[in-house]
Amino acid sequence: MRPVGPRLRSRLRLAAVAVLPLLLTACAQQPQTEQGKKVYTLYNITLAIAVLIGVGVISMILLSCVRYRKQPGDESMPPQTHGNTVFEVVWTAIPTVIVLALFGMSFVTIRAIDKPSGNHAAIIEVRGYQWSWTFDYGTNAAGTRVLVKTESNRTPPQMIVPVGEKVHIEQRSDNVMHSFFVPAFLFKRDLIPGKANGFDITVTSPGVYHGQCAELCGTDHAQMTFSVKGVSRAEFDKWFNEFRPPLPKCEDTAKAATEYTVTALQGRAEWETPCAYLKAGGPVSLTMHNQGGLPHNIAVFEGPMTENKPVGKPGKIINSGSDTVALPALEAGKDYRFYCQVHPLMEGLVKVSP
Amino acid sequence: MTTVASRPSHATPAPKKRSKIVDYLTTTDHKKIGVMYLYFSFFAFLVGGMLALGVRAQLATPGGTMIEDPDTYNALFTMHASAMLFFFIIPIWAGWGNYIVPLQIGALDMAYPRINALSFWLLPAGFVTMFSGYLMKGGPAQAGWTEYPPLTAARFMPGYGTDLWIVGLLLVGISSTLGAINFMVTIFKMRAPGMTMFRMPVFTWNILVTSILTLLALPVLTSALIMLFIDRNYGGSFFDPGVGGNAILWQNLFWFYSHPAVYIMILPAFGLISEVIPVFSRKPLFGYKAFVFATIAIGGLGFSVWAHHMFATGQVLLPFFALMTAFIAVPTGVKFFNWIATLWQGKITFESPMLFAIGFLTMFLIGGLNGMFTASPPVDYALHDTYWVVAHIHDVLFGGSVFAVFSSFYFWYPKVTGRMMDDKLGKVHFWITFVGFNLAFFPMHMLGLEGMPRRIASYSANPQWAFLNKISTLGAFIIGVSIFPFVYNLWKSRKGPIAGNDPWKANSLEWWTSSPPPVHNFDSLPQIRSERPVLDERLQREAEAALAKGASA
Amino acid sequence: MSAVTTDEHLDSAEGRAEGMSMPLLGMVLFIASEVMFFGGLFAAYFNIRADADEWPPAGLEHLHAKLPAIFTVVLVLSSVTMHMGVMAIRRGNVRALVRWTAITLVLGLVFLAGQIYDYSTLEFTIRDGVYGSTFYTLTGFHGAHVFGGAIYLFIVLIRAMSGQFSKAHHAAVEGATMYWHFVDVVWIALFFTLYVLK
Ligand code: HEA
Ligand code: HEA
Ligand code: CUA
Ligand SMILES: [Cu+2]
Repeated sequence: MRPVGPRLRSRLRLAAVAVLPLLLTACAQQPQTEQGKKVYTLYNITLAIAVLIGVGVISMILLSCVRYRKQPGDESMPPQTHGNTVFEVVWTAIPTVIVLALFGMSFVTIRAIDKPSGNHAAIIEVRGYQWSWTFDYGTNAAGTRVLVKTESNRTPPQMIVPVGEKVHIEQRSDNVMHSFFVPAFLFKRDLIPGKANGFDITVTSPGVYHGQCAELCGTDHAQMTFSVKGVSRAEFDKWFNEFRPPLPKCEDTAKAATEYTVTALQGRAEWETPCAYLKAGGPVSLTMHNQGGLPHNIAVFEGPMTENKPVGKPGKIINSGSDTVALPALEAGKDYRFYCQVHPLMEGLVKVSP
Repeated sequence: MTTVASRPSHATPAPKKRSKIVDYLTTTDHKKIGVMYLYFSFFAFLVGGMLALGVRAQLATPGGTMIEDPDTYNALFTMHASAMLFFFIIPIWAGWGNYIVPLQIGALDMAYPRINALSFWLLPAGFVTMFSGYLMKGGPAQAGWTEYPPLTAARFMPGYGTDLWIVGLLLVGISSTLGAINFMVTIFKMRAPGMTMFRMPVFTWNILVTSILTLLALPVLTSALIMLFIDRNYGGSFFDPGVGGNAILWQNLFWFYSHPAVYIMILPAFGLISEVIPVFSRKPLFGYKAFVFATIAIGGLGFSVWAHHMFATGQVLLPFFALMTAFIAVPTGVKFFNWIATLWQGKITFESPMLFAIGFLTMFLIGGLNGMFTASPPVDYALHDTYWVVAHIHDVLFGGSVFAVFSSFYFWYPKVTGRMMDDKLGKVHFWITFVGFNLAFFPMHMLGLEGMPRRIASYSANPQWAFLNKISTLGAFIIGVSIFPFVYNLWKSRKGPIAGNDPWKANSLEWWTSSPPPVHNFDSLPQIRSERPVLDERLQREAEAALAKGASA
Repeated sequence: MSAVTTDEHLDSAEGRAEGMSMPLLGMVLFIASEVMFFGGLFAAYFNIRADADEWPPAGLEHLHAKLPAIFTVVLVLSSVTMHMGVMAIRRGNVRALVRWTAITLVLGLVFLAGQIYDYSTLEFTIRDGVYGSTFYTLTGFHGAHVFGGAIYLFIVLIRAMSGQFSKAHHAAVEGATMYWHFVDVVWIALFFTLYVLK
């Protein structure tokens, strides 16, 4: 048989092998958090070791292929070496040492990133649902709940954090798994139903960073984006203290009745219109019609759901069809809202008319 | 117009051909069963590949205009991976194991021929079950091949697709378990005289260790699948946190199987490579025993690393799993260095099997090394569930297992058919595959570093990812093209040059018998004094011939 | 030149005297896989139980162990009787084998009947949270294994009665015995985790 792989080809391959790893450093995201910088360092060390090993091993493979290819006409047997214990020990020991070193560095970095600490500039509770996020900062000095969310799934919510300060992120989900992932932070962590999770970040420079859900969570997983905006302390305080939650405008009070039906759109985590018009005075009822495709329920609260002042009993979670909740007498002018508890983003106003 | 009556000869189908089909349908001969495995799993590869091309076509543009409904896309990659893993890579090695292992150890058949046939027939049954999801309202399974609850709970994923996926996989599970028992008993009990454990070919060793992994890991997946089925259909709440269940539990059970499963997919490939490299270097495998121990070590360590798929949950003991995962590099490294030492000072020729073996060495290496990044939890925080992991998957599974599969076809085709495959065409196949592979999967590393998550149907918010994705799509279609010379070669070589018993001047017993082997496998057996009985015999014969020549001269 | 003929090879391969016989080895391996299967179920159980604030959950009593304890004794006894059966056939006593197998089979069926009765007395179902799910899945799959074992025993019984077993040839009996012991051991583990462990 004629040997394949003249020298030129293998040289080209070698060159390619040497160049490709450079692409891997060039493409890595520049880290924008203190924690991410540690990850980045570890990544680069690992890359250096991997490239060294990779180039070394591939060179040896190609070298032996070129050097020991059979010469035409040579029918003799090569030396029949069966093994060598010293070699075996050496090439078991050296990788063991490298691996232990890599592990040691990982270990130190884990400790540095995941160490729980008490001093936080803010604690933000992140909730994920199909398919967006809420960022809950708690109540500000004016007594307003600072809860960031989107008005529809298509406009991603933005998390505001002060630059240079350690922020704690608490993660919760009461539906499926999601994962909070900001590429520029070189970090992600899953939101797990039934288990509280969390981590710290310290954003180092101002800017807007793209984030996205990284755990498959159903149909619109790819649309479950958000952003994190790093701002100065002053800017953060101003934003926090002047926060006003956007509420839907419901002005069709003429529709007010003692029974009202709201509709959840086919396959979406969205109300057809986020308004329910009910009469004050006596007991009333609110019906949800689920067009199907997603599980929903309906529950009425006084004020935002996160403050947890339920009015009446929440409805059943249904995949399609209708479900009615009976409500006690409501007072005109008070702030009532209705939600799908599976999708907290599905917020609507209950407008009570006398 | 010709009437039927005027052509009586056409009306009756040739009885011979028919009986051949019936023969295959009812056979319990390990060779025929092996061949059916090969046909079936190659078919699954084409199905999985077509689905992959759908995935790539969708991702060629940021908006993903090809598929409107993201669920259709989710089903695409779910079924792509299911076809590739459960119906292609795992069974194709079971196919070669079936055909080759009894030959390599000098046995007449597998230990339980009828159970062997059952193992095979469960596979198409599982495939039909799983893929019949495409006929159901709501489509097939679409939560990724990992099917994490609670997404797969009935309330989030209604419809029969997921249930069919579960049942299909249960059938595959029974198939694999029975197959594993069969291999183990065959290898333990049916070796020819003189074939001690440490004279067994390395391929057989790897099938043995693979079978042990299957036997011990797969039942755990079975139990998890049953629990998920109960959750979905009988109101159970194992994985539903709403009623006291535990969502992470599924991940633990799933990966307890599925990590060893990745070694089930690669160990036979290691074995094959360890057959090919010595043959085409004309040297014994360097460090045979080290190889065997490394295989056992990989198998053993494989049971203690599963949670490296769960680092980002923050719910697992990070240092332990990180350490164990990293350790797997050591026995794998031992294999690499021994392969290189086998090449070293050899007289290497580059027929197609060897070309693919060298391709395997270089490409799997990249996959192994990029696995070392995710083995470090902090780095995995950045790379988990991004295209870096997709790159890893395909580097190890395509650059590793699939390259080895191609190598095995070129290597053993002469044994199965008695004919040689066209080597030139094989080389064309190799180079197209090699180029396509690197174009398709190398850019995914960069995409992963840039933060492109996997399992997304579109990336309109990040149009800058489009360029690398286009290259990847191009590469995928080049891989698609590379299949044509291969399939053509398989077909046309059925009339290729006669191979003879031992066309490669190889080492192990399958090359002793005729090609194709007789029904009872061997008319005679050589004496087995080492792990290379056929070579020993050949050398002895050559020495005797030389002696005779010397004497007559 | 030395080439062993196939006939010799055949003899030696079939007659591999060392270690277990082929069918028995198959059974051992099968049982190993079954152990892992129940291992998965047990792992799930302990995982969930460790997570729970209360076990059993509020509103449910701890399971009554009295009746199940009796059936446990029945099943253990059946293991003993099956062992007597296999001992008998090892001596070549087919009639004793038939007798012991029949007794074992009856005891096995009594156990199953007992379990069904036990189910009927419980006030929770598989739909009632993790407690119900784990309880019925674990005991249900064990019951299914007992049922499978009973069918196996029944086949052994028929074959024994038609004189298919002898001192030299009774691999199926050995296999059935081994499987029956396994089912028994799983039950003992189940009994202690589900009914006794507080
Ligand atoms: C054939 C299949 C196969 C094989 C062999 C491997 C081998 C390895 N895999 Fe891979 N893996 C998969 C298939 C496979 N994997 C799949 C399918 C997934 C994704 C599942 C999913 O989520 O869908 C996955 C995911 C996966 C993850 C999870 C990533 C994530 O989701 O975040 C991790 C993390 O640690 C990992 C690590 C490793 C390691 C360390 C090895 C090691 O065994 C590699 C060892 C080899 C080498 C290192 C190279 C040779 C060694 C030397 C030359 C010696 C010198 C080297 C050193 C000292 C470093 N793999
Ligand atoms: C053995 C395993 C295996 C193999 C061989 C492949 C082969 C391929 N895979 Fe696959 N892949 C996986 C296992 C495998 N994959 C797994 C486990 C996942 C994870 C899934 C998950 O997240 O759940 C995955 C996920 C995955 C993704 C990520 C999807 C996502 O996260 O959104 C992508 C994207 O590009 C991809 C692409 C490909 C391509 C292009 C090939 C190609 O190599 C395919 C080549 C084959 C062909 C092309 C078919 C043969 C040709 C013909 C039939 C002729 C017709 C051809 C033409 C007309 C050109 N794969
Ligand atoms: Cu939420 Cu993906
Ligand atoms: Cu793994």
